Amino acid sequence: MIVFEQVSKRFGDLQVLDGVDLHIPANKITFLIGRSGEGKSVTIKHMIGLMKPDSGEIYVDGKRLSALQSDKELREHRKKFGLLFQHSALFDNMDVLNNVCFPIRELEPDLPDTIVEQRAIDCLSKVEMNKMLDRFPNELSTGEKKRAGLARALASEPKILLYDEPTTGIDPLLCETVDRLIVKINNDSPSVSSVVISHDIKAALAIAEKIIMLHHGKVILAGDAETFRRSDNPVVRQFLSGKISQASAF
Amino acid sequence: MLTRTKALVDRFFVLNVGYVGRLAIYLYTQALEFFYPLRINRIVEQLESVGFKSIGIILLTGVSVGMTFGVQVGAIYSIFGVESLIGSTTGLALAVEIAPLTTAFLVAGYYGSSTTAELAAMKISEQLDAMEAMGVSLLNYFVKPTVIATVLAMPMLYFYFMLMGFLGAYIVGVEMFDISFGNFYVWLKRYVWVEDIVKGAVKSTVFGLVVALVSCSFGLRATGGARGIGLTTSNSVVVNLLAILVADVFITYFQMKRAGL
Ligand SMILES: Nc1ncnc2c1ncn2[C@@H]1O[C@H](COP(=O)(O)OP(=O)(O)O)[C@@H](O)[C@H]1O
Ligand SMILES: [Mg+2]
Repeated sequence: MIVFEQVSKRFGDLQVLDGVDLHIPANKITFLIGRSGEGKSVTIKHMIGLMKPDSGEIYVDGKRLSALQSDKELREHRKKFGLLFQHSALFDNMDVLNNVCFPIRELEPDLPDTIVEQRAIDCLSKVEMNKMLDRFPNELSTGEKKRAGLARALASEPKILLYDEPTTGIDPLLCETVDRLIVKINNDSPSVSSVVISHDIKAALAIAEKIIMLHHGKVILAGDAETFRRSDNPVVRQFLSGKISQASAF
Repeated sequence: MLTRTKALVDRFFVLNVGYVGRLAIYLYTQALEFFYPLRINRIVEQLESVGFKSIGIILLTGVSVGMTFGVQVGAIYSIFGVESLIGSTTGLALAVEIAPLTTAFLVAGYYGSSTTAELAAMKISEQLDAMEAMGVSLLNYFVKPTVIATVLAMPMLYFYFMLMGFLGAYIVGVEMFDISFGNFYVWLKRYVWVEDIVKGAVKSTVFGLVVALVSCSFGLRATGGARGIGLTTSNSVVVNLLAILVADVFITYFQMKRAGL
């Protein structure tokens, strides 16, 4: 469904992606793992068209992104996605409720306000944030921000959900809730595909249907949990044993 | 020969009418594109922050500029016994130059800078990315409402500034130089024409466009952390002021030329 062919991206002297080939299957949960700063966030920004590759091609649903001509086509492309940002990126001039209403209003401007708000509240209750509707982002903890951001990503009922480190910085109990939620959302609607960036290798092995590992700008291993458990690649083994994932959690 | 000429003429017309037609269609679609998803509520929001919030500042600045200028001019005029001309001199200077320029500087200072800082903060915390990811066009959401609001508000603020300046000059004239209201008004009216006010308003409109475009483009391009926001904002203000001054030189030149001077 999402295909990268030899995608490269550099920022100044830093070659972040160096010929990435990857394939993200439809209707499944795919985990994207790798150390901090390996370009995982950059990778999902490429999927949504927020960044353009220096070279290589990206296909989403068979459409080549570089062929999207007008702003309008690009906007249509982006509407397929719901994106949870690593640092939540809530609009800090709006309260939680209006943050979640925003994408719904953008997508369906003619929907009556009561329905918009009801849908937003439904999304917020999924992440147990329905008691904080009128809080502003600066009044929320990191975990609360993340949950509100998650509700906002779900609000427009997108086909493809991109989660950028949904569980980093929230407590273990809530981590489990979020992981369960990711599975539930993916299974509830058969046409939804999920891409999760995570450091939580346990969660990846438990719920991912496909895992892709980035290292030094390339994909070093892609496959299901078994492939990873059996791999004898030293970098993968190190990551699995948790040594690096501990050190690079931030 | 004749047919060839006719063919050429036909060709000329077809080409040019075709060109003009295409141009017209292009401009029309561009105009539609510009105005279609017009976010009225965003424009109102921006008008509020550029317009209503400045009423106090402009009152103070306008009156004090009018008074200072009135005193300076009056001091010289009283030597020649023509104090009653204070109104006309101050008025003309205010209408064509001081009011448009000072208003634009004020707007660049309080509205332009806050627009840049807000956009820069949103950019750095990925809020702008989040909007784009939702398919929102930043052009429609931020740039157009800001442009429309400043272009509408600036001439009105100019007019208001000018009136406050007249008031300041009048206060000085009456209190320090013993001019009567009638005298002040007659000379003001004789030398400050509607044309001058139109000139000032045209300048203000252009300045409004300048402030909106400069402030938005700096904000949308910001990089770095808190330091980045500070740096971007101060650069934006400096460029705003310079751009206003440069625009002022050009507009004044064209306005003078048109008047045959
Ligand atoms: N817009 C940008 N400009 C310059 N450098 C960037 C930009 N975005 C990311 N980078 C750099 O690219 C590298 C990968 O970033 P990122 O994808 O965020 O890593 P992660 O895998 O932790 O999500 C980092 O070194 C980061 O500093
Ligand atoms: Mg990241």
